[in-house]
Amino acid sequence: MPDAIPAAYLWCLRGAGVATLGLGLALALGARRPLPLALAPLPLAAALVAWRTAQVGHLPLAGLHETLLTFGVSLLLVSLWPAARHRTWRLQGAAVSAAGVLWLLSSVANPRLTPLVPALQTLWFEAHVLSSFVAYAHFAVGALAGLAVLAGTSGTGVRRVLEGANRWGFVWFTWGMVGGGIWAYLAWGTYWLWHVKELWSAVVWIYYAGAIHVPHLPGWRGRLQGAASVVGFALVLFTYLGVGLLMRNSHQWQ
Amino acid sequence: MLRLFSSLRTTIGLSLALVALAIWGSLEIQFRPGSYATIEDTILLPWLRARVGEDPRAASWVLAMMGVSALLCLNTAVCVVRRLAAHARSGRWPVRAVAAHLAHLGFLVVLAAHLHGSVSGFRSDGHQAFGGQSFSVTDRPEWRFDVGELTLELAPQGYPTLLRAQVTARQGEAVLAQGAVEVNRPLLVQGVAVYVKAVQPSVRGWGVLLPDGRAVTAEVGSPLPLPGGTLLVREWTQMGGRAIALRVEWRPASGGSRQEWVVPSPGSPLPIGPGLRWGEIVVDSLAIFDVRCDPGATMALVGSALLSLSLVPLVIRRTPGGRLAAGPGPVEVHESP
Repeated sequence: MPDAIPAAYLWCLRGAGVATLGLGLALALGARRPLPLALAPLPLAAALVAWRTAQVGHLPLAGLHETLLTFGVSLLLVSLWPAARHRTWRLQGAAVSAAGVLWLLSSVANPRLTPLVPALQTLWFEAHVLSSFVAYAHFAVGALAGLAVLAGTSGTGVRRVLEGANRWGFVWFTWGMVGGGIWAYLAWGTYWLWHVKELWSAVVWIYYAGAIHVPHLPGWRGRLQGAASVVGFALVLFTYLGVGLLMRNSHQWQ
Repeated sequence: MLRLFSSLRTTIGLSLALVALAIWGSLEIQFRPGSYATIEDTILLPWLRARVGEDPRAASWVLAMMGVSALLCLNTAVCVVRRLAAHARSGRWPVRAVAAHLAHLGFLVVLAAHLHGSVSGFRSDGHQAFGGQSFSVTDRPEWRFDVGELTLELAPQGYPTLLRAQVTARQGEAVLAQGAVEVNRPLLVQGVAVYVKAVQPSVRGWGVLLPDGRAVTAEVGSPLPLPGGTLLVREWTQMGGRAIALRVEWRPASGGSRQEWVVPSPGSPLPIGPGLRWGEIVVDSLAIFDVRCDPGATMALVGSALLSLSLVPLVIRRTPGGRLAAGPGPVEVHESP
């Protein structure tokens, strides 16, 4: 592992963030040929992940710098399929822009190179974190669709994206919780810890477990669903960033 | 009452109540950490028993979560049973519906497993042993854990990269299990798991030079027979700088004993037996182990697998006609046409 971060890496990350933000805005404003614009950030994402992986010797899943990068990549990937399927390119533009912002934030977070502590040297850690960030990305897409519904967008495509994103997000988050539970049992002897991070993870899981039942209630669809998605993503953001930055956190490994 | 517990509104209301309680709990832990300092030291039931009397506020939200979870379980079970009865009457068993019921069943199994582990397991943490020593736990008094070779590897930056301890679990002389315990790799012995929490250099004892020139080690807590008496190092403490003081007990062969604090320096004489001198300090790797038993763990794993796998058909199978709100959950019995 090298001793220092190459400055070129951070400048490339910033450049990729600005470019992706621009592409996303172009999509959101209604580009005529949306698919090439939506695909363009993917090579950047692959290059950034490969570069960081080569630096640290593992997938970029540890620490704020790496998870912001991974969150952005996940957002690009998970938002592409529903946009192509339901022709919701403006919504996709918002997701791509958000990915660009996440990369810019990643570029200012501490990118220190530290070896993984023994507890993190397991596939269960990677499965847990990767599943969680894929889930977060789905929840982000759901929240963007929810904002669109709240803003008065009436197309069925946006509503389909809203419901699908929350359902997929819940499934991935469940897998992430299960993976985290197995890892915690192997590492600490219990699959549940009464710590702030675990409680907030439970908050997110229980909230979305309730939220995915909402469409079954006639009269609760539409704006209420949109509002629920936005509130849910606020809980996700607090679980990811707020708990780590503002509260006593058992997930600060290093 | 049945109407209430078969309602999706009840499900959502109870979910929101759980969310609120968990947020309250996180704030409690954040702002009153002292009240929760021991919550991970034991399983939940003994902790709750102690807290209900000493600090009811600390226990209140945990108890409330348990109560709301129980209601949610009842709500889930009623919904699943009513839907299963409807499927049985109609004779139709759509994959999505069956998967949804299995997912709900998995959720119930996980909660039941957690309850089981919270009332009938045990945790025995912080056992320290050097290589070659043994330890035991009060919850399995007939068992003994023999510690073999210890390995500690550090990265250049000082972080540990490998902690490993060879452990053999015995009942009498019979070997119950043995193997290398590492972080993320506990030793499992009949539902009991042994975890290595740390391997670190520590003072193991002091060398004692015998009159014939041989050297032996007086280990902390272990009586050492010597010519002219027995030496027992009871404890040690670091003084200013690098000096270390020992509380030792001398037991001369002639009878009696006395305790005193000494600061041993290599070559200085011991007050029992002629020709005995202090040697060098002996530093060795010390391992710290946690021993835990959660009888609900396997059940929780089964429930989690059931829940995780059952969710797959719910998202990859398209709804007939592609209509919206193709969710998997129990339908609102009172409002569905």
